[in-house]
Amino acid sequence: MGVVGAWFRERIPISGSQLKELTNEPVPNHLKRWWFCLGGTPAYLFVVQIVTGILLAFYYKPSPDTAYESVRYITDEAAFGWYVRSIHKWGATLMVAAVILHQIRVFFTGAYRRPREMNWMVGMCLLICTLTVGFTGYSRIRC
Amino acid sequence: MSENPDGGPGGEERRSFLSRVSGVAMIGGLVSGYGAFVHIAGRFLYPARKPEARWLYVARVADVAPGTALAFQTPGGSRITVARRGDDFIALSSICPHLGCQVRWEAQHERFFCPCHNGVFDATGKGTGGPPKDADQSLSTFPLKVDRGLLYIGLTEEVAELDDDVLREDSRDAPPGPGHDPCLFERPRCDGEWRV
Ligand code: HEM
Ligand code: FES
Repeated sequence: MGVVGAWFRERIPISGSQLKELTNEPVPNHLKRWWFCLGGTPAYLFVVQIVTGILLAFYYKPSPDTAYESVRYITDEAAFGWYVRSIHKWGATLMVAAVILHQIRVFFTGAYRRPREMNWMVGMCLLICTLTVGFTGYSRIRC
Repeated sequence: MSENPDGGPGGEERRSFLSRVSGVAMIGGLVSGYGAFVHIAGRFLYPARKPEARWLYVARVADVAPGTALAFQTPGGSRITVARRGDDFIALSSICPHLGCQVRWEAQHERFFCPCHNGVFDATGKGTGGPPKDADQSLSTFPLKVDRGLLYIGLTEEVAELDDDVLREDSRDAPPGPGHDPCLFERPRCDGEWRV
């Protein structure tokens, strides 16, 4: 480890073996199934929606008589606008799908039972939030 | 780690080599993937620049007699009428401002005529009949400049878009070659004497 490494180690005092211990925590074998990724999927898509949504907000004009034109501008004229908008649209659809699949997984693995009842309640709130935001976004422009 | 669970000599070494390679591949993939996205986001946010007017050569000033006109074709195929009146030049689009049909010069009536809804324009491009007159529309004009005896036309963004449309339309439903512009077949009628 050179001078640079020593400089960082002095300021961030975590050794490699400590880091390994933190990140190599074994995942129980019964969790190593793809359907346990269905909770992380909407979480990731949420971040994608935030990032692409902020990008689209630079051009989107929300009032009724400018909305359509501004979206047309994004799709047809702004560089890569079609791409950013497509990601946002697909992300919205896939997020709803992933949340529902996640809820199905939670239901069929019985993961809502004691002591996870609160998880289920929070989850229901998240489901409603996802559907509401999806609906309001969809109502901005239809095509 | 010493009993070498992979079996065979060198298993340990091979494993660390593979994990190093897959680690590098994974980080490389993430960096290039997110890097591409950051690039795209930057391009998306960077304000679109208006293309500057391109100056294209039209003709030698000496070759255009006062009172005559010529049909200039843009690289994309749009026609622009360039007319000379005394020492002044005027460049008129051949796109009807009503609904975008091609207008043509009728020498015998000294007017531009649009066949779609009987639009009429006088020699300066002002609407004098049909829908263009009702809406007080004129044929759009283009900047011209004379430099050392040569005449140039300034093609704006609008023309670039027009050209795009012309090209797209042609490649969609017309064979290559002369388009549906009647003047390509009936030159004499279109290049008739121009008086302003
Ligand atoms: C925006 C929506 C949601 C996000 C981002 C999300 C995220 C997550 C994540 C990352 C986990 C970890 C386990 C896994 O991924 O399977 C999880 C677990 C859980 N989620 Fe969700 N979730 C959402 C919606 C819901 C909904 C709609 C429900 C049900 C009504 C729900 C109920 C639960 C429960 C009960 C667990 C615990 C499962 C266990 O302990 O095995 N979640 N959630
Ligand atoms: S398009 Fe020329 S008059 Fe209607």
